[in-house]
Amino acid sequence: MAAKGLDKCFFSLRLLRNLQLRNERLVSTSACRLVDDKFIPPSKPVIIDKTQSVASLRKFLSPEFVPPRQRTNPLKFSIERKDMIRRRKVLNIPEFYVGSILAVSMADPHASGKANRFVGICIQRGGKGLGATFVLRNIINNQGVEICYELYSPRIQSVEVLKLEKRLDDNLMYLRDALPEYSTVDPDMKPVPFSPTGEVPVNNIKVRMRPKPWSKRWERPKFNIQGIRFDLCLTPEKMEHAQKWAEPWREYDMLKEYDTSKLEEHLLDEFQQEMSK
Amino acid sequence: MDRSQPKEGTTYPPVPSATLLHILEPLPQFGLFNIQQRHLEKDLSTFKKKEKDLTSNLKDDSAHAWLQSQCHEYSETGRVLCVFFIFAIVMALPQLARSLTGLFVETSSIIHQRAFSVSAVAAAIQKMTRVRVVDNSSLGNTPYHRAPRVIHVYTKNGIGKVGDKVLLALKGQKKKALIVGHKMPGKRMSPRFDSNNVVLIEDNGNPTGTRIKVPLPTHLRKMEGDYSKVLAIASSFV
Repeated sequence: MAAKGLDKCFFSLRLLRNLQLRNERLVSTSACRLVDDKFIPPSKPVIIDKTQSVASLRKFLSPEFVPPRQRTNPLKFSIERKDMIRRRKVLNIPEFYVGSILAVSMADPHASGKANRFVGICIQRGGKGLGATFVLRNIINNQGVEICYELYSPRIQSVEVLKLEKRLDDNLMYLRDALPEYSTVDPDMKPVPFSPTGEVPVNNIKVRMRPKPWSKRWERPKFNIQGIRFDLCLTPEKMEHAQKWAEPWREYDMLKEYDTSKLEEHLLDEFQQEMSK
Repeated sequence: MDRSQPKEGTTYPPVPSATLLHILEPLPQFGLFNIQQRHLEKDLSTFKKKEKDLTSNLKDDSAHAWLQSQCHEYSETGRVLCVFFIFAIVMALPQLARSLTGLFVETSSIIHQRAFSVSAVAAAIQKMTRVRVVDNSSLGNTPYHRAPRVIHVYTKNGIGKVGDKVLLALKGQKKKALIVGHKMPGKRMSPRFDSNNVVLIEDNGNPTGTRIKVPLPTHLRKMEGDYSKVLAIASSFV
């Protein structure tokens, strides 16, 4: 879509230049020399299109497009994907990861001005297909608030990424048990500019936790969390004790293998074709 | 109940905290000591009264049992304080010094865990849940040795969600309250709070306090008629 727009820009630029040249030729050269001794070339028009953000040139397929490995008919998933693309043509859902800071504006009959804006850090992306959700967390007036938004809900009016970044984990639910400074996001934050090409910045922050008990035993290998500073809250004996729940045979479990690389490429091509129509 | 932050409007008696800070500084477990300090001061005043009872009633095993029973309501730091106090006093009595070395070892485990278990949220708010009063009423914010608990939920099933009335046992009195947020996840686009929040209310529906600083969920606005005064004192909605 953006490529088309750029093409149109170039075409209009060319037209403008052609018109300029024709006008210069029509005007007599002698008159020009009298007015200007040196030829000052016209400044090149710099078009900054601030209304549309530059589409990401990274190859990114949103995780809810990848169907789970189930016994349901693939037709169901393909129909859902069509509906998802239809919705994405109306509402721009940008690329974001768990750990990025988003601002979501939602239609609310009870809120003042009909729209409800919430800024928060994305702690979880769940669901597949049209029921895909993401949870935003923020701390407002010393009160932690989390809202689970449905990506394809018609109530959502806009989704903006204020800061695009990844974290060391896919699931930041441990932020509920971490110190509140790690979940606070300024609601009037300005969007941090990010490059549309290149790698997504990874924030290697290791979070400090509140004293135990936590809502879940995050030290256990089942959660495989890299982003907590366990050395500050747990003794090495406790870490070893937590390793009792490690299930080292799971990585060799063939029935749990689900290689999505080829499927993802195929889906990405399909997605890009559909979106450019 | 969110214990990491002190309740609004609480005033704590002055305490010679310098010496205690000096004792507790080397412990790495106390990450955010500034926040915990106020809990320290609060718990210290109540413990000073118990000091006198301690020295008279102290026995080997009962001391530990008493500690466990008395300490479970308090924060971890308060408990450690209590232990240090006992330790300081009892160290003077050489007979008991040997028996209480075992106690001292126990303190490190007390630092790490509470003495009660906290299970996952099963159903939003029901009888015996401890709640957090979020308005600025004096009844809700004055410290008491027991957290406010729900003793009755005014719904058909005993489960209270946002917008339901409950009866609280608060400072030895019964008081009605309105639930304005709970820890249990609800509908998809509705907010989920990190604590079970409650606003004290009179029998006619008028709020007891004058301001609510904590954000309220917007779907509370549906009950314009009954609780319009509660919505009027709210400062922000989410």
